[in-house]
Amino acid sequence: LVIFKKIYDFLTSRRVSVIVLLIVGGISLVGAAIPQKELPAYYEAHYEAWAVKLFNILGLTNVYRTWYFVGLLSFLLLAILTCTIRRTPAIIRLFANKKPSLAAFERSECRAAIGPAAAYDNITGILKRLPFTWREVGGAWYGRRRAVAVFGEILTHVGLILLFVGGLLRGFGHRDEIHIFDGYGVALPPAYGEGYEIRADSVDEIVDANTGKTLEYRTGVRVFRYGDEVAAGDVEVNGPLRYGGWGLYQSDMNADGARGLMLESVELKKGATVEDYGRAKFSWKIGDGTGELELAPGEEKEMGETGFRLRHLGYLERFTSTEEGFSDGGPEYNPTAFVHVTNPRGDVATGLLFKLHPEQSFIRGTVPDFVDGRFYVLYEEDGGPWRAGRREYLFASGSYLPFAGGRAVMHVAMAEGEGEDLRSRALKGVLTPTGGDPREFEFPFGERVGVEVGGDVYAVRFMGAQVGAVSGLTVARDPGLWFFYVGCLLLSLGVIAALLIRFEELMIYTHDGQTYVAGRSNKGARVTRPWFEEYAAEIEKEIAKRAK
Amino acid sequence: LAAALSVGAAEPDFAARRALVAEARLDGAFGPVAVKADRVMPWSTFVANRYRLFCGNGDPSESDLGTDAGVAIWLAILDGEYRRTGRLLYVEGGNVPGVKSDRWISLREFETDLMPVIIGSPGSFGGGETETAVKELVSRAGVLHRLSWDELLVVPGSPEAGWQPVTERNPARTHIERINQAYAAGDTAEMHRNAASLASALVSQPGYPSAAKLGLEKYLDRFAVLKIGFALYVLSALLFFVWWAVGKRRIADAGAWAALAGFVFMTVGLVGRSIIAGHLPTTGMYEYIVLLSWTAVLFFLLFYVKTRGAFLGVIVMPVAFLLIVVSSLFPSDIETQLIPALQSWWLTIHVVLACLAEGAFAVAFAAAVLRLVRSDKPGGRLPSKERLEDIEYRAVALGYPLFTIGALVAGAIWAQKAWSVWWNWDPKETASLVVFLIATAYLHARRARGWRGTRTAALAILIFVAAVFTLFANLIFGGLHSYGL
Repeated sequence: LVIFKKIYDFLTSRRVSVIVLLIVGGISLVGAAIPQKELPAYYEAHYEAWAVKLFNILGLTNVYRTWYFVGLLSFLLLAILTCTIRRTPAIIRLFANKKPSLAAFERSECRAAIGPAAAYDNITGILKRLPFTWREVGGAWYGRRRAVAVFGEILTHVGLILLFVGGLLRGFGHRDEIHIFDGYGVALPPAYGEGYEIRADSVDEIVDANTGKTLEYRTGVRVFRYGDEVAAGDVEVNGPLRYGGWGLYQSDMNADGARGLMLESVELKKGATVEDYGRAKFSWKIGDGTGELELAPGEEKEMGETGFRLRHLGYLERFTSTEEGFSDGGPEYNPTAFVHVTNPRGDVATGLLFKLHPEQSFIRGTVPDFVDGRFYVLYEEDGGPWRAGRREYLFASGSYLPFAGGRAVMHVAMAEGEGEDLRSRALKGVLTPTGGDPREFEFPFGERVGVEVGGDVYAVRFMGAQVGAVSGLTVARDPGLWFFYVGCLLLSLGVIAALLIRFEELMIYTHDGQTYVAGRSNKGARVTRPWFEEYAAEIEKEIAKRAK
Repeated sequence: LAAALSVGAAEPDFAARRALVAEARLDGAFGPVAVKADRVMPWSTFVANRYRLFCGNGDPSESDLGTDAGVAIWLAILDGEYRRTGRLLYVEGGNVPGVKSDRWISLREFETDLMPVIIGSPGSFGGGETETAVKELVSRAGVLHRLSWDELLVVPGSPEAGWQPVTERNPARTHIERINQAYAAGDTAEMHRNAASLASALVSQPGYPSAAKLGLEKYLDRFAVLKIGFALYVLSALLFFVWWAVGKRRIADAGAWAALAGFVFMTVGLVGRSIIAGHLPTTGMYEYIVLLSWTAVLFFLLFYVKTRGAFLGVIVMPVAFLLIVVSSLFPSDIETQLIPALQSWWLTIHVVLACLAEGAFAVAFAAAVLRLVRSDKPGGRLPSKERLEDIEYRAVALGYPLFTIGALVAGAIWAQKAWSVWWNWDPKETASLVVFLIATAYLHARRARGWRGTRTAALAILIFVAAVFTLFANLIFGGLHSYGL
């Protein structure tokens, strides 16, 4: 018990608290002076060897996480807690005690005789004029005002405790940077809840045309959960969007455009496999012979009894032709089959067959003598047996992508590859279905890779890079945020009450044939004296006036 | 007109172009038209490409615009609408007494106030056709004879024709393109319609300061209120020193009156600056330090009225004027457009309360220093140590809640809104925390038995020293508070 008493006294000692406060301040200052959490090479480059050694020994490069700093903060928290516990009953008693003992006032340094004992009997009229709440307590008049000020210390201490707790809880929160390209979406990292997707409808840097200065960075976002829109709004600097316990904050922007990676995901119909991707029906007519063929990419079949063969080489859903050749980065839907036709002599003709514009399809080769000038292959159908939906993602490396309507999240990063050319590199994806185990995938440039989520198959393809306006947002979840806000409120009220509001008490009583007034406040005798003397003089003057 | 819109021959035919310009102007199609050395262009293009009218020693031949620069200015000046609403940015005007550089001026002010000062004898244009043209225009404008081109930057008349290069973002481009397309198509009516739209856009200037603001800035500059305030602070400090030496009450009172007068001038200057900028003087080191000086004097005057404590002036007033001296090391430009990060009411709450707190700490600092130098012998200029301690405590007790709420609470809430994290161990944050910790230690030490006296005085001094250190923490250590100077 003696030990406990000593610990209790130690924790509640003002001297100890002063010393600890100053030590914490000193260490904090060291942390401000020495850049924190830099790489060792930084310190070696900027400081003398002996200093670096000292930093390492004392942990000064991450001083706010050192055992001694955390220990001091813990001690401070414990001391505040102990002081609060110790002081609270007395403060509540003081607040509730509307009948204080006369003895306490008789000992006050602020005490004055204001008239003869007889004056006491007629003093009520005078007291009513003073801004105090009066009551008669055992033959004396007791008045007080602004009693709420007594809670200043407790409020301040509780506010600080809540801030400490808020700070501790913050450690259980999360904070991530996400980059969203204009018109595209990314998933929130799973730590913020499953199934969330953030889409950017607009990425704007608002510029004053007069001065060229940036007035605002604004991202118009919509929040989806499992494919349903749950929130929408603008995210601006100083104007976060909050939803679901987390907030989106505008932290960065490149409205002029930055390079993002493009991934295509095509949901296949039930039963289809990624090998079916591009399966198409063709109709043909050679001489008098006609027929239909269904071919998957890479497949070759005889064209009836004609001796001709049709090979389906590849499929481009968004065919476009450029000076550099053709690619799959064209209009939203312009399916094209790349085919070879082999005649009975073994001659091969290459063809591009357009579904939407069959009249522009062509087959290169020795067409005139290929088959008497009467040769048609029509691309009849695509998508029917294999395609259910398609989606593109433009994203920064390291992003989380919403997958399978929010049923899974794909964390995608650029895999190490050879050379700078994207074509020689691949994307690495880690797919985590809701409640499932993560699976790793690699997406080589241009190749379709089958990804299965809950029985549905997706043909995923890394399509290269594309430039788009990109918004950098910080997403943060802080479980201690309300502790912080309430702590701030209490701390603010506490310091105002403790230091700017004066709890004043007056006691008027008779003693040895004299009427006395005594006063006290929560500010000590020197601060109490001026206002006390003012009131004492006023009462005395009034007594004298009435006596006349 | 086609020639006017295209790059001309190597040898400019000024007269022909001038005729074209005049024609275009009379025609009303293009509104104000600017003339460059080898071509005529719509005014918007001229200004949008940021052509600075630079030329060394007033010689237009060295101008970026060539020898025809004057015509551009004068066409703008002579244009009725532009004359009413146009603005010039006055730069490098150090040779013009009473006129401050780097600010917007109206064309009217340019003509009536600046021209008589910066215009001298004719002939400095080097003669020739340009001089003749300019003289003619000058004559028509009814103003004087010479213009020093190195001091003016012509600015556009509307946000659409802003300082940016003509880019896709600039609506002026659309107007110009439409004019060109209409011209190419031979559709005169369409061309005139678009030209009228462009001209209309050029003269609407919501982004520019109002005439009232310009006038206010002009008078603030002309009367140099902040400088007068500074001079009065210096005078006040000197008077308090003299009082310290000779001890006459009248001298102390004169010092206090000088401080009050200086404070009034500084208040006028800061209020005027706030009106012009559209926000309180809470951005940048210059504004913050001047504001800190202002709050220090404010609290000194309050304590002076309350305690008649001239002794505080011996320390607070030198601190106040030294702060202004330090502030002069930083750029004093009025920032009318804050960066997005600073566009928040929390900025005002955070900075103003922190500044008020530090002003109060300055008074506590003065009282604490005086308490330490006060001998135990009675008499002298200083009151008793107890009284000094009382002033010191009151100042800290005033500053502490302001600092806690302003620097820490408001700062943390703002950081949470802007940076998503309310505490980041940023150097300036940390330095503010240190001030709070020292002030907290002071308040506890004061109530610890036997610690009142030298120890608390040292802590009170430390509070203000740490607060001043906090001021510069971002400059020394960088961090999130580094928004520039």
